[in-house]
Amino acid sequence: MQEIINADISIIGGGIAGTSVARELSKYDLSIIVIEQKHGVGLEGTSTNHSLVCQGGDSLTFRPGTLHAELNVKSIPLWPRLSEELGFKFRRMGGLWLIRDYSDYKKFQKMVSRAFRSTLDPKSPLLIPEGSFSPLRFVDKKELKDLEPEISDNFLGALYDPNLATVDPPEVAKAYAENAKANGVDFLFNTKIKRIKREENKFELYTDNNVLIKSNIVINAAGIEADRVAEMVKARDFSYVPLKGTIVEFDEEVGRSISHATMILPRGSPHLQVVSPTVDNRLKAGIYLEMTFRSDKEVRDYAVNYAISVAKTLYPALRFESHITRSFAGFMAMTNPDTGWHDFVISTHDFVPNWVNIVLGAAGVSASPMLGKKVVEILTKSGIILKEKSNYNPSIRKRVEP
Amino acid sequence: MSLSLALARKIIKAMIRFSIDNHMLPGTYAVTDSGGHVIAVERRDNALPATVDLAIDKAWTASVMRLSARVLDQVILRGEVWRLNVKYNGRMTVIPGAVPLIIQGEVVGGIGHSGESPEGDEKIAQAGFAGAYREEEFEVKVEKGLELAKAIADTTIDYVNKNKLRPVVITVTDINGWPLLIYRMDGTPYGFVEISRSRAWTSSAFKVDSHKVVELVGSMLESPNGEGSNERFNTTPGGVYVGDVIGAIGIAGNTPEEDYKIAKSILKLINF
Repeated sequence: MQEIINADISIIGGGIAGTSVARELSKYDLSIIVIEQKHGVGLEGTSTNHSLVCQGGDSLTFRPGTLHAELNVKSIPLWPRLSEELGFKFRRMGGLWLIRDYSDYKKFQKMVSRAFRSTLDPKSPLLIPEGSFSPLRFVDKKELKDLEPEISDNFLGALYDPNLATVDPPEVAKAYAENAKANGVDFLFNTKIKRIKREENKFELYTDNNVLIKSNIVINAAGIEADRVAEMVKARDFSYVPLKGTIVEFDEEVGRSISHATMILPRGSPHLQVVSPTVDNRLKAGIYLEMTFRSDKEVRDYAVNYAISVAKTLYPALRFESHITRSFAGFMAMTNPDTGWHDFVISTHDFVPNWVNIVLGAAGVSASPMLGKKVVEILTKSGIILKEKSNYNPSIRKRVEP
Repeated sequence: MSLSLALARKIIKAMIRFSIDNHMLPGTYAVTDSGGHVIAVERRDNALPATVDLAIDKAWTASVMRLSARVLDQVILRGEVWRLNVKYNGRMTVIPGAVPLIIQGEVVGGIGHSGESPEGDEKIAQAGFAGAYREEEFEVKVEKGLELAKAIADTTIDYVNKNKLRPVVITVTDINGWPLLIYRMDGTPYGFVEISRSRAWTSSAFKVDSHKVVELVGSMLESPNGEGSNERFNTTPGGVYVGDVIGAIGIAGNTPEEDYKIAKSILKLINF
């Protein structure tokens, strides 16, 4: 016997995008359901990333005028409060952009001045409120050694960014979800969307679980599967390529010797060179990036070796090999793969009303506090009247997983 | 994954699916190799004839510059497109919709689309790029002419493989001589692309098989390639006139006589 669920809004995908949007929409008088194919929230792309929260210089260097830059910069002041409200760990450890030679120095100078122009100038449209951002500064070799004693002697100094922070993204997704649940959002786990029928402006979502969901508005937050879901109703007006990143994680023993996120600017190679502590003092290094099929989930030796070599280049004295806890590969959606100018997609489709596509990719977790607000803006613009609830509680939590 | 005819066809299917789903105007979809030479081109029936060469030239530009036209315009040339455009007889097409295909970090070819707005062209070409990284094939329903052209191409590929002939380039034109489809089978030297297209053009322009044009307008033989008449004029065997829905087909890759035999056999096989 088929079960039928009626909802005002159904959100496909319980990752960082789906849960953060669910939380934001739970402020309004709506019946909402989140449909997730796995047994819990934040188990795909949300859990397989470097877990940095772009809080500083990095988010200011995103391409001006893109949604990617806008949402990340606007999220900067929201994170500390969010962490207090929802009670997840938020560690502001600071970042060091290492300088190998004069060329790096020149590039960073440019980055600092561009960052200032686009976001710290009082006339800028993306002005960050005072107090949420500490200025970036250059540190010399001696100070670099004070900040990070184990760092290689090959670096002349660094650009020090005190703002960079880290969270545990699955923990954040869970916090969003639990708050949403406590405010009335339903969650449906172990359920995969098979087919979607659109009639007039209503959607019928057929699942592999013998559940039929009827809904007025659908938010497609299916992460790396967003294109396939959008194609079900011919609402794919974006394209992306799956970008696979391989990261190696090290235990607390080496983790404790490193207190800042350290990075080198990539030069002549598409792979990133980052070593970053996590909220619980472990360490993540990588990232080996390759465009590939999304079914290609295998963690390969050369990618793992690359990640270890990055850690060894930055900290030659530490014995990383004997402290590996796990290595993993995750996917992110890369839009504009031909130009390399990645951008988010958060939009309704021209020909499919009441359908919202969300594609995040790089820095998606960092932008999550703004996602829901953007979706609300889009829905309001398309004429949907949202009525605020009087009994919304921003910090209450309720278990979501079955 | 390497750039073969099969991959190029998959990319084109992804592009057509994207443009149909998004109610975009029909156009020409082109994929070239790393040297800018055509691997596959498809034009939908209602697309403007001029989009054929625009799409091919966009793909060529992305291939030989190893860059997207968007980057070429905004970062390299910064609006001064004429600096490049005077070269290569204006073939350099710095209009969005020219996208390089990147596999394992290297540009292996170019994808071009023409027929929509520049932004639309770019979106469609990017959909082709993304299509290369999809496991599934897209099922698309296209118009009568292109559908028939694809059936002819499939039959040709089967025929060539079955008879162990050298791989060929197939061109199918509409009744006005504009290509609906050009496929270069894997392993065919790129020189045959233009030969095949010229044979098809010649057949559809004179409404006879390409080598019979000599009987029709003998004086043209004085200049063997018909220079001064048309750059596409080619009177070697291999072009066969059809004149119903499609104009002509042009085959090139083996000796001219063999090419002609292939073309004739294909038409028999699909009952024309």
